[in-house]
Amino acid sequence: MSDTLFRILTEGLCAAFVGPAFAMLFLVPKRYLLIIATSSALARIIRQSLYLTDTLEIVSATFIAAAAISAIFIYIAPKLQVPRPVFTVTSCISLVPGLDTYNALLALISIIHGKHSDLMAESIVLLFNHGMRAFAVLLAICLGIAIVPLFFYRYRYHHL
Amino acid sequence: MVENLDLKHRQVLKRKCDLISKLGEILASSGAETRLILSSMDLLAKALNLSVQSAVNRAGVFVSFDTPEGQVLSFRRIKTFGINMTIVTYCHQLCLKAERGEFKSLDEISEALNHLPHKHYPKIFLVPIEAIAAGCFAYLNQANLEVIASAILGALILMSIRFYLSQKGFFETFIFMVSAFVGSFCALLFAKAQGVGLEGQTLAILATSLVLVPGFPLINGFLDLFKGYIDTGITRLMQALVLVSSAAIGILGALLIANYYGV
Repeated sequence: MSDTLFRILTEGLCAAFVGPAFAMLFLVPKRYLLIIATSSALARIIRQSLYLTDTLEIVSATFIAAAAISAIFIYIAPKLQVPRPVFTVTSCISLVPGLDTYNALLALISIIHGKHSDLMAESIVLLFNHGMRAFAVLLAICLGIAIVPLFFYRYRYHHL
Repeated sequence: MVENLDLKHRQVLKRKCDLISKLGEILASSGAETRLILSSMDLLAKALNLSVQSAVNRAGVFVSFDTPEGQVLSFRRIKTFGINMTIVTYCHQLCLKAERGEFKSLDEISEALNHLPHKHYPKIFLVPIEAIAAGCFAYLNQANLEVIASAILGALILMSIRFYLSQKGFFETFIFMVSAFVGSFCALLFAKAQGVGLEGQTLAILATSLVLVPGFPLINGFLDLFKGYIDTGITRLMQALVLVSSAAIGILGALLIANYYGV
């Protein structure tokens, strides 16, 4: 359990670096980088806490993490007078499913260059497995960010 | 005398209309989501005591309103769909200021829109930051120290090439392709030189190329779709897909060359 906790915390620390690094690429003002670092770490910690402790599978855990970040910034962003996506998008970058996407790409190459039907069949299964998981996680991030504000849309519109 | 007044009034209306469409154009070319662009334009229009009809698509920004003499229309072409969150934040705050009545005249608003902040992080500072971020990405995907080091070195080269080509004014797709190719090839070489296994090499390439994730077009595309702006949503998602495909072509090229020469 302590190993898992250590892993979750160190991943949170790494995410706290990844979020602001991406935010700088998108030219987010300097004064908001600390907030992005915190929320980025929080997103990763929420996701990994749910996933590594076997509470939820990766897609649902990602959705909950993205939705939590989105919900937090529905209240914080208007107070800072900053559009919400400036925070939410950069905070969720550390949730992007890199490994699955890359494995899907490798499986695709194996299919293109495949000579034996057994290997090709295996590659097709791998392509669908990793490809669909990557797509589902990506969709979970986007839905998590996009759906939560719909509940508050009228409220925010009147206060804008 | 009455004709002169009418002319002056019409000129003021036209100027207000132009200011609103200019705001829309700036926001669209800085990567704001469609709802934010339209609500900001409406906010500025309200602050200027106008009730306008506005629309945004990939081609441009349209603003129109009716007067007893006829319709006043303003159109501005969106040249690029870039990303600059400093400008998006600045314009959003400008609209809120206008709503609170902090601008005394049209000239002040025009001045504010003509003097956008052009703050950029220094490239010499950004390259190592992004390289360390790639190392962090490697750690997030359960990499060991050798793989993390390979990812950092690969990303250093990738980001240097990306900024260099960007400075030279090449197309974004070409920049993504070339920088992904060189960056992942170098990461692969570094990983092999350190005796990292196949799985580790995969991780090094992956972490290196993750700094090319087009986060804003992708997520803004979904946000647009879910808020009913289907056309701009699809445009942004296609833009993200093209960028991801360009990076994937670069990575595939690096892998094929590495296999061909037995690197």
